[in-house]
Amino acid sequence: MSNHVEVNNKTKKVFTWPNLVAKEFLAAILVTIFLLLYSYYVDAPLRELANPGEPENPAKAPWYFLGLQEALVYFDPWFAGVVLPSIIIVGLMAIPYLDINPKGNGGYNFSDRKFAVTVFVFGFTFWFVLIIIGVYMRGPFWTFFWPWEKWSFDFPTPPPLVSFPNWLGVLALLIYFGGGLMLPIKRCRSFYEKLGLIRYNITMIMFLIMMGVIIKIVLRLMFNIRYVLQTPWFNI
Amino acid sequence: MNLISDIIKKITDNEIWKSVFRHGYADTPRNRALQTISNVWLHIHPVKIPEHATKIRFTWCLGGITFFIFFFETVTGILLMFYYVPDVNRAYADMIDLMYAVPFGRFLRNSHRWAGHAMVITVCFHMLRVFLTGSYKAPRQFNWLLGVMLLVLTLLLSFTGYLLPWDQLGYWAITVGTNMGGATPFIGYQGPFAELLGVKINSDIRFALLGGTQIDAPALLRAYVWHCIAIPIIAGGLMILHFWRIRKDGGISGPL
Amino acid sequence: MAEALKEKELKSGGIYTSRRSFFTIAGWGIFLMTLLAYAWETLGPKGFFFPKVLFEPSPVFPVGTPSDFAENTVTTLKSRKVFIVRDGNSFKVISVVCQHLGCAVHWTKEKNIFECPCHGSKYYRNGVNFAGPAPRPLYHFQLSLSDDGKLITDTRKIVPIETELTI
Repeated sequence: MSNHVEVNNKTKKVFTWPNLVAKEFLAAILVTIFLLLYSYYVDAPLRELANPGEPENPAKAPWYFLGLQEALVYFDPWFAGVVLPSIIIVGLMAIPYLDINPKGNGGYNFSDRKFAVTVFVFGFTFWFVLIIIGVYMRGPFWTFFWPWEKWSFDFPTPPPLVSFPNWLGVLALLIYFGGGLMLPIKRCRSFYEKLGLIRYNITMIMFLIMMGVIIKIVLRLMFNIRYVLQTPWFNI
Repeated sequence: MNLISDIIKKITDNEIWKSVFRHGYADTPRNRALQTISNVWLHIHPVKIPEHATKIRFTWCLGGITFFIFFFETVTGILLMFYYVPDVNRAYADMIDLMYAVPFGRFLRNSHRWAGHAMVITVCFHMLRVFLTGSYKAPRQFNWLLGVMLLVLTLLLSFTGYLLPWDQLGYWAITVGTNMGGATPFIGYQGPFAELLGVKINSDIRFALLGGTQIDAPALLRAYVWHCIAIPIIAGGLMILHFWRIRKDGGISGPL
Repeated sequence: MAEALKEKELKSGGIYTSRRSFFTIAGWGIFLMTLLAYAWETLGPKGFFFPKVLFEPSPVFPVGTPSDFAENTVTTLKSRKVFIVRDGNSFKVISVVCQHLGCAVHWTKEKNIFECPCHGSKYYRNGVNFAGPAPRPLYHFQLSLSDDGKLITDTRKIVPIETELTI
C-alpha cells in the first residue's frame, strides 16, 4: 500500500463540534470525578523514611513495574533489566513494519489476523500475569506464596541452583532457535513467503525470545536451573 | 424574559466581546465549523470527522483520556512544587507537611499519585486498542512508533516521580533502577563487556544517573529535574508530533 | 561552464562536486559535528553529567575494636552497609549490598544465610550466592588493624572471599 492518504468519500461525516467534543468533554469530566473521589477516599502510599541500611521486606515496586521485578528474578540484571526491556520496546516499535497484512486496518478484526492478535494479546496478558504474581504472590524475601497462604518467615531455604553444562546449553539454544526458525518454513511455507526472509527472521526471533523467557521461568521454577548458557562475559 | 435577553445583548453586543469571540453561539452549521477552526485548542480536530470516530466503543476515548491525565498531572504537579524541596533532608518532611499541614495538600498529592497510576493503565490500554483495531498499519506506522516512545516516557515519569518522596519505596526503587543501568552491556560498570570500553563505577551510565557512586542528594535532584522538567518537555514534544500525525496520516483510522 | 568542467574532471578520473552541493554537504557536516561535540561534552564519560568532585562518605572507616564483636557472630552495621563476621579470632567484612541489584541483604541467623528482600537472592555465611538471581558472591572488603587497636575497613579494596584477619 502506498503511503498516500486514502480518502473514502462514502464515509458519513459529522461535525466535530459538538458530536466529538461533547464526548471528549464528558470523558474528561468522568475521569476527573473518578480521580477526585478516589483521591478523597484513598490515601496515596507513603512508606517510612528512606533507610539505606534496610529495605522493606518484601521490597516491592509499584504494580506497573512488578512484571519487570518478577522477570529480574529469573535472569541476570543485564538481560532482565536492560536487554529484555529494550527488545520489548524495539519489538513494539517494529510491529507496524513487520505486520504487513493490510487486512484489519481500522476496525476490530480477529479472523483476518489471527497470528498477530494472538501473539500480541498473549504477550500483553503474560506481562499482566507477571504483575499479578508480583503483587499477590510474593512474600518476605520475595518467596512465593499462593494468595490463600499466609505470609511467614518460616519458609524452607530453597536448594542451591544448578546450571546446564555448556555443551547442553549450546545444544538446547541451537535446537530451540534453529528448530524454531526452521519449523514454520517447513510446515507453514505461506507464512514465511508472505513475510519474506528479513521480516520472517525478525518476527520469529522476537517470538522465540518471548517464549524462551517463559521456558526459562518454568525451568527455574521446576528444575532450579540457574543458567542455560555460561560464557566468560555473560550468562543466560 | 426580555430583561435576560437584554442583558445578554448588552454583554455580547459590544466591541470587547466581539474582539474575543469571533462568531456567535447559535447552532448553525457555520458556527459548528467555526467553533473548530477558529479555536486554537479545538483546531487539533478536523471540522468534520467520520461518524464511527465518535463511537465510544471504537476508541474508548483512551488516547484523549491519557492526554487529559497528562494535563491533570501537570496542574497538580506544579501545585505540589510550591511546597516540595528535592533535598534528602527535607523531601520526606515536606511530604508529611503536605499530608498533614498544607490545606488541600493531601488531596492534591493523592490525586497526583493516583492519576499517575491511571495514566499507566490508560496508556497501556490505548496501545491495546490501537493494536486490536489495526490502526498502526500503513500509513500510520510512524505514529505507532511515537506512541511506544510515549509509553516508555510515561513509565519513566512514573519511575522518577515515585522516588521523590524519599521514602523506602523511592529509595530502593532508585537503587534497583540505577543498578539495572549499571548492568547495561558496554556502558554499565557491572555489565558484560564493560572492561572493553574501560567503564568504571565513576564513568558509567549509573554514575550519570546518580551524579555519584552512591544514592544521595545529587540522585534526588536529578530525578526531580527529569521528572518535573526534562521528561514532560520531551513527552510534550512527542505528543505534539503524535497528534499532528493523526491528522496528517489521514485522520482517525477506520474501515477503508 | 560547470557542465564542461564536470565532463573534463570525470574523464580524467577526478571527482566533481558543484559548489552548491559542496556547501550543502559542508554545512550539514559542520552542523552535525557541532551537535555531536555538544552531546559528547554533556553526555560523554567526562562530560557535564559526570561530576569530578563527590561529596560522599569516606570509603575507609573504622568499624570498632575486635572485642566489640562476640565470637562466631555476624553483626550488621547498617549505617556503614557492612557485616562484620567473626569466627574464633578471625574477622571478615562483607558488604550488605546484594550483587544482584544493590538492595541491602538481611542476615537470617536461624538459617545461617544472607537473604535479599528485593528479588530473593540467597548467600551462604561466607557470602557465596546459591539461590535466587544473584550472579556473584557478596563483596568482601579489606580489613586491617590500626595501631590503636581498631578494625579499619577499606571499601575500595575488594578481597578474595577466603581472606580473613586473624588477631
